[in-house]
Amino acid sequence: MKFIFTCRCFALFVLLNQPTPILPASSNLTYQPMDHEPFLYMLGRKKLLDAQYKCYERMEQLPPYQGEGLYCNRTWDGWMCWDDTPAGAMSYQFCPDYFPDFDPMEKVTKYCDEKGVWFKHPENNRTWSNYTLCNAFTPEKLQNAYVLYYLALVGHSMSIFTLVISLGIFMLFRSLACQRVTLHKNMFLTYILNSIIIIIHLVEVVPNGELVRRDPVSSHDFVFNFIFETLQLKASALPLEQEEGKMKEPKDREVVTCKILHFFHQYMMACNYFWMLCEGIYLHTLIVVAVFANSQRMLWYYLLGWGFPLVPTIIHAITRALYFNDNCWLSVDTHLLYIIHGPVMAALVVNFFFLLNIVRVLVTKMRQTHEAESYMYLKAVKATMILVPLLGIQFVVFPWRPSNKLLGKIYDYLMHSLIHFQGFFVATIYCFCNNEVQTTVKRQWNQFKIQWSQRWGRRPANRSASRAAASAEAGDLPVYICHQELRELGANNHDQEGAEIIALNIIEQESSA
Amino acid sequence: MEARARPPHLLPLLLLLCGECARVCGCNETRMLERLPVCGKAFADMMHKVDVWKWCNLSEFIVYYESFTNCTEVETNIVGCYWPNPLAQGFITGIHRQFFANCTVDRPHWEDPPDEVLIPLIAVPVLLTVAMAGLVVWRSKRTDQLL
Repeated sequence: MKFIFTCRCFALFVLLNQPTPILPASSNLTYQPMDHEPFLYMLGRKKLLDAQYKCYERMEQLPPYQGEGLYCNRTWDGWMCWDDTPAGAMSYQFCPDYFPDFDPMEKVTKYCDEKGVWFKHPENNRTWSNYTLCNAFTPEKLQNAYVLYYLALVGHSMSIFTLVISLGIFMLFRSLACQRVTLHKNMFLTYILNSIIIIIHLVEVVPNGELVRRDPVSSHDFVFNFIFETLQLKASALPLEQEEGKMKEPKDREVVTCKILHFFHQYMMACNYFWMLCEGIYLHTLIVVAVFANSQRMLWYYLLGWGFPLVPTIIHAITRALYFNDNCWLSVDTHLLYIIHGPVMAALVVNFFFLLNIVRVLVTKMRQTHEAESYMYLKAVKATMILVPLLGIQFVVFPWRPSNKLLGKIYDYLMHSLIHFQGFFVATIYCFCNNEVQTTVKRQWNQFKIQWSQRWGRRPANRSASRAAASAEAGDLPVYICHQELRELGANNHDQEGAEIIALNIIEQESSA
Repeated sequence: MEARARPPHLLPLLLLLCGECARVCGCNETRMLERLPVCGKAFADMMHKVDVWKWCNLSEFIVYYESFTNCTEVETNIVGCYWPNPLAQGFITGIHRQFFANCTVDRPHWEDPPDEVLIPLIAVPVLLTVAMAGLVVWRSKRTDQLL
């Protein structure tokens, strides 16, 4: 699953860094670097020399041309390596990433004409490769990158804000406390931690003026990949030591820190999805398996939500260190990433099936018994039913980015909005849109108003009226999933009175509180 | 160290002159072939400072390699030729043969493990996930039965 994330991410940093002058296609390279030259230039230069070295080695070691007829000889055109090409053929490669405004998703072309000679530019009659597409669209992509960057910042900030408020509400109001809310609180915590990591890196690392390499990024990780790539480049950014003949190696500590951060981020991402799974399992156990509310042991949920994600994360870390120990573990070209994404997707699928089962059971019950209770359960499940597809859709839709420019743009904005605002959606759906929470908060607000007006010596007659109003409000709304009275009542009453009795009970509860 | 000996501010002038010369004189390939070995010698002198077993690792001597590349560019431009060109390429190939003939083709630095290792590595966490979910459901059920 690779989300084709065009060079907006690295093009983004052109704006944040001093822009490197654009070199003409296949022209000669500039002369010796000075000591104070910008980092971007030196990094690009290093990559270029590396490519040149490998090219000459490759040209030496590849077997001679096997085909028949005329062909153009293998060559190094100054920037890229070209193999023997049959006459009349056009050779393609991806653009190099030596310069910040080159998009490695674009193509370079070199034409071998019918006589077996590489195409010469008509102006100056020298061999020429077409690098024009590499930086043709950069300003536009840069602008896009900026918009998406700010979208990410705003999304995660709003997520943290709403999640903290929701967490506060759940912790403050004891009357809301129950097992399901505990699950919500844990899930909110994972989202908060996740968003914090991302924001810190977006704010701190990105404006530090480093170049970012493009890589096709996997669905959820694209933001983090461009964050961590800048860390990688920061770690390897040091001036050429001309006395010793080689470049300084990045400090080990920086490299290890980078990998630890990567590890932690992967762990938080997995936790997100596993807590979603816990929510689904809890509802399933409650409704389908018909265990009493508030009587399940939460230990297993904690194990699954916080403990189990460690397993794939640690396996990934070990195998990555052994087999694919690239700088900062940034590369997404490896299948080792599926060690984490596989279980995450499995969790989503399992969750989805649990929810389908719940809906099936509820609908069957409703048809059979016409109980109000089942309908209320359905409403309670509604929140989870919305969230699971919302979170999972990015894994399903991501591989199919439309190649059409406009559609692709729409797709990008849509996907980015979905991803970065996830915490916000979770907080809204689970907390702010929850009737129970709304009631509790309103009641608290009314009480606060009464106390405030009492302090200022208003007539006390309002007090009982407001209180009754508050209680009546509380009575209207279902508190079902959390309170055990429901199950007992629901089991005993099979007629329509059940709902009223439940409501009455609740009013009694509230007046005695 | 010929390339470095030339003061930087003269270079643009030289290149400009070369440009003019090229238009007038054309590319003097013979002269180029005479001048290029100078770069080669300078490179050889620099490479002898590096231990022989390090010669296949570019990061050990990248600065010298860059110096050499720049030198060939400059010499080519001086005689009015464009860089790169087939003769210069041939010369550089010769240098590569001289120093790096025994180097193995640089495979991609990092590779995925073979499939026999990779597939179990992915399958096991996935199966564990499903198993764990089932376990949690089962434990919740058991709690109910105990009550």
